[in-house]
Amino acid sequence: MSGVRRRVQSRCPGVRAPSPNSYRSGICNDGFVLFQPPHALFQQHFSRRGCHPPCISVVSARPYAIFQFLPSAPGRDTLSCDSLHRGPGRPGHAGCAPDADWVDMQGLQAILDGVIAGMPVALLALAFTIVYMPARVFFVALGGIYVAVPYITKAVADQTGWWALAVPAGLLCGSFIAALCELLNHRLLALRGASPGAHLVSSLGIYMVLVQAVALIWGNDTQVLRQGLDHVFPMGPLSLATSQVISMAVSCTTFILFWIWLRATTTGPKMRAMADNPRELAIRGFNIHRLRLLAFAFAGLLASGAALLTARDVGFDPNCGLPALLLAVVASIIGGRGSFAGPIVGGLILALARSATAWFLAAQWTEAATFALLVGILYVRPNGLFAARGRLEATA
Amino acid sequence: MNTDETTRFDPVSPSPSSTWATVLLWFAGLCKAFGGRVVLNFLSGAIHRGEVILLHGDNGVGKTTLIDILTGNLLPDRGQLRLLANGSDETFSFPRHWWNTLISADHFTPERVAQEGVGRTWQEIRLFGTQDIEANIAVAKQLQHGESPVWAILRPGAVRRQDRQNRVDAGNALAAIGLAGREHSSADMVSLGQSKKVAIMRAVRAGAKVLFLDEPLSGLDSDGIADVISLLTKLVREHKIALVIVEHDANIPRILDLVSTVWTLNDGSLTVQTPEAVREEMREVEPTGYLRGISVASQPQTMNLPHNGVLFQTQSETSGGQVPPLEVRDLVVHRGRRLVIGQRDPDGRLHGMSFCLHRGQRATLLAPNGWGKTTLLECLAGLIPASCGSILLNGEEVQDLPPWERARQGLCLAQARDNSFPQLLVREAFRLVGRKDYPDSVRHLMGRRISQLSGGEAQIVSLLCALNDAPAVVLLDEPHLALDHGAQTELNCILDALPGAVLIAEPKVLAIPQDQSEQS
Amino acid sequence: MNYWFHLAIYFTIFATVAISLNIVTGYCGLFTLAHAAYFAIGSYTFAIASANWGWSFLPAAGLGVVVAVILSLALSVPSWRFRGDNFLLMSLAVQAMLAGIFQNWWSTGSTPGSWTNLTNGASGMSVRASEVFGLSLREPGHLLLLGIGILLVCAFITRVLLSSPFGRLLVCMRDDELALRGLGKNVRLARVQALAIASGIVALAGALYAAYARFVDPQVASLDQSILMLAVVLIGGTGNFRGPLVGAVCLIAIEEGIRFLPFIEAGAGTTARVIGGGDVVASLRIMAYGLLLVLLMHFRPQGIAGRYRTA
Repeated sequence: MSGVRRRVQSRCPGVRAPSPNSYRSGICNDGFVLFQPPHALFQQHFSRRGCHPPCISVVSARPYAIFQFLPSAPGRDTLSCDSLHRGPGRPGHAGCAPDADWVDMQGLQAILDGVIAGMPVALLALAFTIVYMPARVFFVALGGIYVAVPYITKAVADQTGWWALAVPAGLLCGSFIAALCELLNHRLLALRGASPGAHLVSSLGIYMVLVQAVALIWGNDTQVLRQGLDHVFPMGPLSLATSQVISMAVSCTTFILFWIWLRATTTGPKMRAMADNPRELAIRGFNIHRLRLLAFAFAGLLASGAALLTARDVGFDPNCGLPALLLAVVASIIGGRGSFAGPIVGGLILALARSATAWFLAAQWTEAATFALLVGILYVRPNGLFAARGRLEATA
Repeated sequence: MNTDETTRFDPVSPSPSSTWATVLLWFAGLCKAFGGRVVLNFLSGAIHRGEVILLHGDNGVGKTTLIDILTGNLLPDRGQLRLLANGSDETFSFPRHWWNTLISADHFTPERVAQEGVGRTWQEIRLFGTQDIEANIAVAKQLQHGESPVWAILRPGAVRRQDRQNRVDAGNALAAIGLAGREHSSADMVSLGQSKKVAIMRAVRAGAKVLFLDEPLSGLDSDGIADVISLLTKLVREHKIALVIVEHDANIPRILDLVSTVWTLNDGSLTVQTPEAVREEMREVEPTGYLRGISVASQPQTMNLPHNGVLFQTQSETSGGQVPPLEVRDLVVHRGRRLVIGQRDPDGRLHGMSFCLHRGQRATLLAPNGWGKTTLLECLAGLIPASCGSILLNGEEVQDLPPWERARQGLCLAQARDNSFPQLLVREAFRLVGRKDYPDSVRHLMGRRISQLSGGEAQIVSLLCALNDAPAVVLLDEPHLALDHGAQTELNCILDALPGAVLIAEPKVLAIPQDQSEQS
Repeated sequence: MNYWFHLAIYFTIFATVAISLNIVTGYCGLFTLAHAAYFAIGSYTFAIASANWGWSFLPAAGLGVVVAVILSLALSVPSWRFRGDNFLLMSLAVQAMLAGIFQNWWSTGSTPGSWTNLTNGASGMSVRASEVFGLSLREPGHLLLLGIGILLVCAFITRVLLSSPFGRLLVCMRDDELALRGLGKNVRLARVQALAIASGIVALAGALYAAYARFVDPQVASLDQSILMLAVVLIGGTGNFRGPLVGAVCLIAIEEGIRFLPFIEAGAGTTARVIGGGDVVASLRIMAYGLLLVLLMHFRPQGIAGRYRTA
């Protein structure tokens, strides 16, 4: 790390060297933007490539990227300064505004980036909750689906060249794998009367198999779904990258469609009834096996969507699944596992908290903040922010 | 009345103005409500040394709640509890203040209450299944050095000596209850009666001076019951332990000889009676609820079932030729290892239950609590598999179908308890089952969450959900539970209007015959 | 010859880890994902003590044990309130926080092991060659002797504890905690003690690992390592004494066995298209664990040689 900073300072004498473990950007006098993500891979990335005069490698077209749960390094193209669209309203110039203005706008930008980064997290949290609420299964294998789907999509796209085919293929594959998990694994365990621990451990085993299969077939390197840098849309003082726009559009549409589906059909009450009292639901004439299968398949679909959104944004590698899933689990606990709105709001709150921590403190504290929030919620409101208060009983 | 005086327990009955010297446990003003339902309403009482108290009341009235509170397993909303069983005087006031939680010694927890000399046994027995019965008893002894890892590592010799003595004592305790030589049987392998005795001895060995027994006689045959009662008698006579027994109506006659006081829990309040008064009450057998209508109206067909069960059926209007909606042939049902429905005759063959319900017939299964009514209905609905026999719905065999298939073919079960979706709103529940019309009495409940309803209201809502379409066969498990008189009338109207066959299971209060105590 | 030494040392380390995790999983009935973090506490404390103060193995490892025992309170206090899923999440939080400390307690310019740069961050710390009773630990033979000694001591202590009334208390607590509390037993204290012992033993194994690998970095405390430890114990079996040992043997067998599979040696040719250039052996190994876990949960939840079904 120190080696990289020295190189930076020698080539860009005017740079305000950022603290080694923060996401703040430094601004060169000659207008280049330097990104300092803290993860070890990024550090290696920089030290491997060094600094090419006159430009420094740009790892993202956005000054902020909450990449803590995605340790991969996305698009590695180098750029000349002309095509850099960053900065307060002056295309082609990477921002020569005085530090104070830049800092203020970065704050707002950080909040916006945080909210948008929270949307795939909310999608994944919703996916997790859709299985946990009715079936009480800790569906860890969702992490494996999260890893596998971008690879499958990319393989289809490489073969056929059609994204319009590859993306639905990827989504369907993810849904199908989730349905298989239920049919071949969780339903058999449930019929046998296995404990929740058995479901958790078997799901973990499936996760391990899926991730290693992906690593065997496609290797361990980080890959990207898009070529080149993202186009960036300036919006007054703020700016949005294409990936962010897609993220927002897809996520919001999904949430709205989901909400409509819950209201218009009896699926919402059915799922909550299954969470409350599956025996009673069964004798009312509802096929609870089919409901479970639907829940799993839908969760696979949502997780695939979240995976593709993030994959397009920052890339993917075989190890990105478990951290993403853990964030989603924390988000669903914060929001409450007993409702569908809980994980969505929990995801947004969590992403906001993380980006606020990265901004006000330093990026190294985001994990600590995440888990401090988790511990706090577990102690104070163990059923989440949006759940009814549980009954006061002295014993477990 | 049993005139054999030597077997009749002579209680040391404390006078109404008994002093504190004999009180082991005292409680006042206990209140507990779950959601909208008030279960205990300012209860007060005391347990004196040498007393044997019978706690009885209807199903679901709150007997287990009261025991949970008095043994530290549940926090009451208000009240006071005073424990004097172990020589010390501890008072707990509720609701607990935040400073109580700071001092860990002042927590109201089961272990704290147990250390004050209060013990209990559980309905589901709760032995430590992976250990043998000797270990189950040995673990109960207080103040074992070996339970501190420091002692176990640094002074293994002393620990071994003490543990050996502990296990010898445990072996002696087992021998005293007739299990000599079976010390190393695994706890999940002993029979039901034996495991109940082991559980009782375990609580005694932990130093209980007041012992709460939650249905100690349920599921036992007459030999088992006699066994347990003799153990309890010995506990009272020799160990001078005060007992509080919760029991089903079916088994009450057998323990009335042992009991010195009767507490009746009803509608949130506790009344104290003498055993003689309860004996008088239980002399009459009166058909209750729905059955009264049947037996008055027409001459019902009666089928006597083993273990004091009776199946009453109205005469069927339609003659044979039509396929009966429900036909049960030779049905045998087990719960775990226990045979619940069905009988084994002396040469070991299993005979199942058989009956037939015709269209428009009304039937009532009257059996004491613990007979297995719920098990039978759950098996008919598909929640429990049948061990053998067949169930025919409209002439087709359904015993291999899952519950939802049977429901779609017209079999409807309304469970007695645990029959609602607490998180749903009432209107969501109606929408779920597709009910469009509802009586005016529930109109004001539509926007409320089911968990916030009172017991009677929730019962009516779940019955309305169950009786939505016009099912061919309707099975109701104690539908009048928790309903007041008006709601019961309303329910009877709904039931009368049903075209299909209706089978209702209701509890039967056993009579105490004039001559001998019950032999089953 | 060296190969067998390394295999044996690796076995002693992992067998000790498995024995300690068995106390938590098999005897207390808790799934924990923080075990690798306590392993790393032992490693790091040993490295720091031996680098800063030149301590030999036993005092440095002893300090690691003490630190781990104190930090085990972070896991045992929440266990009073949380069970099952929630305890798993708590252990995840503990693991993340401790891993964060290992990852982030550093600054440039200071020597590793000093107060400002305790762990040297992601670069890791190299460990001085240590010694025990005058024997230098540079020799694999001496290291193996130390490893065997530690394994025997830990196995002996665990066996004595688990067959004592304390062990009986733990298994009864695992079977039915509420019934045990109804007998007046202080289950909270028992759980604190059990977790402390387990953390102490695994820290000792961590110190041994540091002396063996001569390098520690935050990867040792990663979630993947915790999952691997949990997988080994679940596969080998929980709830009795020989289960963890069988698990450690399985671990070694799978690791080394996969290396000798015929199609791995084929290299280019038939498998070239399939293999994406990653570490095939590592992937196959983890895949094997995953498959074994799924199969075991269906057919033998108590593990290959275990007695108690944690799941």
